[in-house]
Amino acid sequence: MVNEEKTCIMTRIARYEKDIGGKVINEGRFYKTDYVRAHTLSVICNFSFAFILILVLIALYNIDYIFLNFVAINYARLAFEIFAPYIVILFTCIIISHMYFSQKYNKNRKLIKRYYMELKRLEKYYADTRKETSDDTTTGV
Amino acid sequence: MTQLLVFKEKIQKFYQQYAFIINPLIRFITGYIIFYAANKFIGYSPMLNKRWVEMLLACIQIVFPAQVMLFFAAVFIVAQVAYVSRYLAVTIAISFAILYFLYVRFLPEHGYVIMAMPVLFVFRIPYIMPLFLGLAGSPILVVPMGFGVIIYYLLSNVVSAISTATEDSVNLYKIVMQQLSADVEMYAVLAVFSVVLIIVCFIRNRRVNYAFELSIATGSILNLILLLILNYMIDINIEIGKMLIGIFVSGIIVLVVQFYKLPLNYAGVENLQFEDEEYYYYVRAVPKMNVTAASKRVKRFNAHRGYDTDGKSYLGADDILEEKEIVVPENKGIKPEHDFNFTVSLNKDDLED
Repeated sequence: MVNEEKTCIMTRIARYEKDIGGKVINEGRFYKTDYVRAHTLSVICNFSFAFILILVLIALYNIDYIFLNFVAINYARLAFEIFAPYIVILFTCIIISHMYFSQKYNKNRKLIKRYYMELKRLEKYYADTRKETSDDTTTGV
Repeated sequence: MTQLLVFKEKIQKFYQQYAFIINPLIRFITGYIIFYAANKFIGYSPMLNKRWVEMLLACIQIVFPAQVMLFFAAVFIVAQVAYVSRYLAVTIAISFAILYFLYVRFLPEHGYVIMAMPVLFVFRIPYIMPLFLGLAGSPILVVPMGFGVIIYYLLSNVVSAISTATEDSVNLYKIVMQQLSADVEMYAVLAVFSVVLIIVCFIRNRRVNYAFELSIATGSILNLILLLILNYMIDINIEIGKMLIGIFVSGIIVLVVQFYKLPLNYAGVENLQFEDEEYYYYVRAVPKMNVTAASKRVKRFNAHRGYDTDGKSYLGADDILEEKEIVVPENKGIKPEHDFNFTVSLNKDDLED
């Protein structure tokens, strides 16, 4: 027979899982440092891809100039002009993302805490039921 | 107002009952509107510019998650542009990719705002967005709204560049970029919409009566005044008649959405699935409702005919002679807080006491 109390607890747990998302629950298993580092790495990759694409767009815009002055271009200076802003922006991104994901981790932890509280209630329910069953068996004997 | 509340309640009930049909239907309609707008604005390819293609792509949206719709819409736009200019298609695809890597990747929910903005521009009601975002969100939504405006004007400049171009070359991209960076109308719309969004958001958060309605009205009027001033000062070629109608329609739409926001947010029936060691559970969690449409029950007592035949005692409350169900016109549809189901003792002994 379906137990009403257990179903209520399990429904609440399922709703939490649905609301806060399986991703958040899975990420809750990480240590804070790992979580922040993984996301910061993702930011670095995404920013680098985007930066390369922006360079492609700039190159396409100045394609005539590049073809005409292909030999005359000072590539050392060009590389400096490209990489200097890249490194500056990258460091800014790293700092911002580090702060943002640290804060996000703390926020997620609070949500996950409530989820684990419900899990504990279910565990307690199981423990109580098991105890009752074993008591009945003892009395019966 | 009461009737509207009852109607709102009915919609909520209807949605709860048929959510499994309504949700895919909404996704289909949304998908169709997006591809229809794209075809209307840049429908160059005769193969893609067909009703059945729009329907087919909208049907696909029912199956895939909502985020895939953004990807499909971007690919569709690139494919349309590729029909007339491969260089422009490549540059637009790169622009979309940059937007994805820098922004949408981290805030996917803002992607819908970016996509909605050009669609609303095509239907000439972009004024909805600053009002709606101001009501439902925070000032940070200025960023995705701004990207949406830029994408619309980028595509708009693509259309104008293609219409005047004689050959497909990289120079087309250069022309588009030059036109975009010199587009005063884009800057004006960006500034006005940003100001309106922030003001609407500010008024909505004030502790005054009718804050939501007040913020919608203020936002609409501010939209109108600021655009008229900018149109007068820097000549941004805005058609005033269409703008007036657009602002009015947008205000009405946002007002209606605001009224039904509660049922839209909370009417969702949740279908949950889990299991234990004995069963599989398929739970349908339906949220409780507060207002119910009901008629009032009024019981009538006729005390004059309450004498017993032997003349010793009056009839008790159980001997109610007449009971009718009456609908009171002024309170129609609202369940009364007080209850008329009371009992009256007409016992002679009680009355004498």
